[in-house]
Order: sequence, then structure tokens, then C-alpha cells
Amino acid sequence: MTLHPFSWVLISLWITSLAVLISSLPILGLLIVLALLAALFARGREMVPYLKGIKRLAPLILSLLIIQTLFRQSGDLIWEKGWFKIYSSGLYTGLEVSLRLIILLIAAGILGRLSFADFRNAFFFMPAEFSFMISYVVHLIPLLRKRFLHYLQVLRLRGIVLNRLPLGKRLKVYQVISLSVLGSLLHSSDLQAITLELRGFRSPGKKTYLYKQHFTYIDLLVALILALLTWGICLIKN
Amino acid sequence: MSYSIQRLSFGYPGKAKLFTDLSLDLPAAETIVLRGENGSGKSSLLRLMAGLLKAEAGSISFQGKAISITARKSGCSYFPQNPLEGVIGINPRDDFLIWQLSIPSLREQRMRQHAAELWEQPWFKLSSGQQRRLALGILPDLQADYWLLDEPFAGLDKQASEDLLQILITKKKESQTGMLIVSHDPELALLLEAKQLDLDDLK
Repeated sequence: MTLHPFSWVLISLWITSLAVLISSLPILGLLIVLALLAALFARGREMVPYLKGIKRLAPLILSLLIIQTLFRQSGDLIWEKGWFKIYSSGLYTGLEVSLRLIILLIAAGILGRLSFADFRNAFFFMPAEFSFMISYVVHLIPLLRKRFLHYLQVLRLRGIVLNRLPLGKRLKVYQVISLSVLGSLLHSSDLQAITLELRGFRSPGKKTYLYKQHFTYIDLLVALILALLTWGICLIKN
Repeated sequence: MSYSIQRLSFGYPGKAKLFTDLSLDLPAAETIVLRGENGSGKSSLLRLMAGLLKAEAGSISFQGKAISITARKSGCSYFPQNPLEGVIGINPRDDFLIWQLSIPSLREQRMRQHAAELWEQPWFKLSSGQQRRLALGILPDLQADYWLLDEPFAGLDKQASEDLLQILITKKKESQTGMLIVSHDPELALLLEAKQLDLDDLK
């Protein structure tokens, strides 16, 4: 990764901020393309399994689109069959929300590639605790998913097939698993915080430092491109 | 044959292969102590046999059927090296409740008797020896044809080690349970009257 971690944070922030602020469908489409390009550059070959992970969320994204399309009944009537009506505003908002969610997921993939050391480098001007908090929050969802899948694996090892359990027992299992996931996350954050303390960022005197990556002209170029793109989008919007 | 491993090849991505064309037949009702250097692939072999890892090439079958993660249904049980990897729930009581779904005849009283004071303690507050003792507490109630135990004695105190050894001996004699036990203890094979295999010799 030749780019400075701060540039990756900047790219992700830029993409996600615009995705939230702008509601134009063509620009949201453009942002998806840019986010994909950035993620491809950041993750390389790992991009394929990550996109497959996003694909698994397709039912959620699709249900958001359908809910918005069906229940927002304003604007022009586009199509109707009996009580089933699709209005322009509903379809537009549905697409907008779905595209935003896709952009946020792809941008999260860019940040998910960065380790704690990368965040420490990116936020070199802030206390180490700040980098730790950002790093931990960014990695929280993949960690949650990993822990959840692990517990499902343990269930299967015990020969328990969730779908065959009565509803009451299934809910109990989900309750136990959810608490386990939460508990293990709290425990691991506790351990991570201790590890951080043990590295002695606050200790006085001579100490070792993390390798500090320096900004290069590529980072400057990225910042310039982002500024130009922002200016271009503002021109289009006005 | 209980377990049959044929021409197994496996390696983690980006690392050297752990096994190439490894073949091994493990008869039913036989106890085997598996030894090998650190990092030689003992735990990975057990994970492959439990269906938790996928082989690059070759096959693993248990009682004539290709291995899958739901092997427990066909009578195979796996206990990982890290006891926390094999438990569910905040505390041993939660773990017991989940086990009860698999073994309805399981009684809380029996499970509690050897760890009453730890029963509702969070797993993370227990020492690794206590975690292992509680995680393996299910063994006497487990009606399995084959056990895959990854370093079950690690971290156990003298009394807990003796108790576990007694459970293994009893199971072996009474239920004819086959076992593959990873251990660095040179005396374990003698105590269990078990065959000893060195993974480095098999490669």
C-alpha cells in the first residue's frame, strides 16, 4: 500500500460524506464506481471475497428498496395494479437509500483494510487512544460477524441444527449466542486496551516508535483529485 | 475403519504446505496419542478431521462417510486446544444449556458437582485450567464413537489431570470409544495403553 493511511481515511470520509449529503442518483452511481475503484486499489485480490460478503446483504438492501417504494406514496404515479402503487418519490428514495448503503459498505471495506498501526500513522497528530478507538470501531462489524459465525460452527459441531429446533429453543440459542458475541467483544476490547497500555505510549524517556510513513506526492495528488471532484460535483449540483 | 485419511494435502494461504499426500487409517475403538513438533500441524489435522478446515486435495472419511462439520451426528466429537473455542455462552451454565439441546438426558446436578462455585462465573474470569476442566466436563456424558482431543491435559492441575485420565480410561474400556489425543506428554500413551504416532514421521 503506497498511499499514506491518512489518504485512505480521507478517501473513505470523502466518499461517505458525499453519499450522505448528495441525493442525486447519477452522482451516487458515480460514487459507487469511485468507491469500487478505491476499494479495489486498497484490497487488491481480497476485493472479491469482500464483495461476495456484500452480496450476502443483498436481501437487506433489496428489502429497504421495496419498503421505501411501497410505503412512500407521493410524486407521480408510475405503475399500479390493484392496491399496489409505485410513486416516483418512493422509487427515487428507495434507490437513494439502497445506493447509499452500498457506498457505505464499500467504503467500510477500504477502512477495514487498515490495521491499528495504520490508524496510528494516519492520526499521528492525535493521542494513541484515539487511533485505538477508531480502529476498534472500524473492525467491530467484521469481528461481530466472525464471532457469530464461530458460535454457529460450535453449534454444528455439537450436532445442533438450528432450523430443526422449536421456536422457543431457537430463540434461547440466539439469545445465548448474542450475549456470547457481545461478551467476547467486550473482553477482547479490554485485552486490546491493556495491550495498548503495555506498549507504553505515555511512558517517559527513550522508547521505540511505530514506523512512521511519510506523505508523498501521490498523497498530495489524491487530495488534489478529491478537491477537484468536490468542485466538479458542486458545479453539477448548481 | 473408523477414520480414513487418503492422500491429504493442506496448507494455509501464503504458507508452506503442512501435509502433502498424507494417508492414515485410524481403527475404531483404538486410542492414539499424536505427537509432533510445535507448528507441525497436529491441531490443523484435528480441525481437518472435524470438518472445520477444507483439504486442498485428498479425502477424509469417518465410518465410510465423507467428513463434514456435523460429524457429531455420526458420532465424532472434537475438543479444540483453546477451550474457549469450543464453548458457547457467557458462563458454564449457558454452555450446559446448549449441550442439553444435543444431549437431553444431561443433568445440571451432575455437571455442577465438580464446579459449583464456577458455574455462573464468566468464562473469561476463569483460569485456562478451569476453563478446560469445565469444557471437558461433558466427556462422561458424551456418547460418541470417536473423540478428537487437542491437548486436553494442558493447564490442568494434578487432580484434574488424574480425573480426566480416569474418564478416558473408563470410556475406552466401557464404551470402546476411539480417541485421537494430541499431547506432548511422553507418559500419556503408556498410561492409556495407547498407540503413539509422531506426525513428523508420517509426513
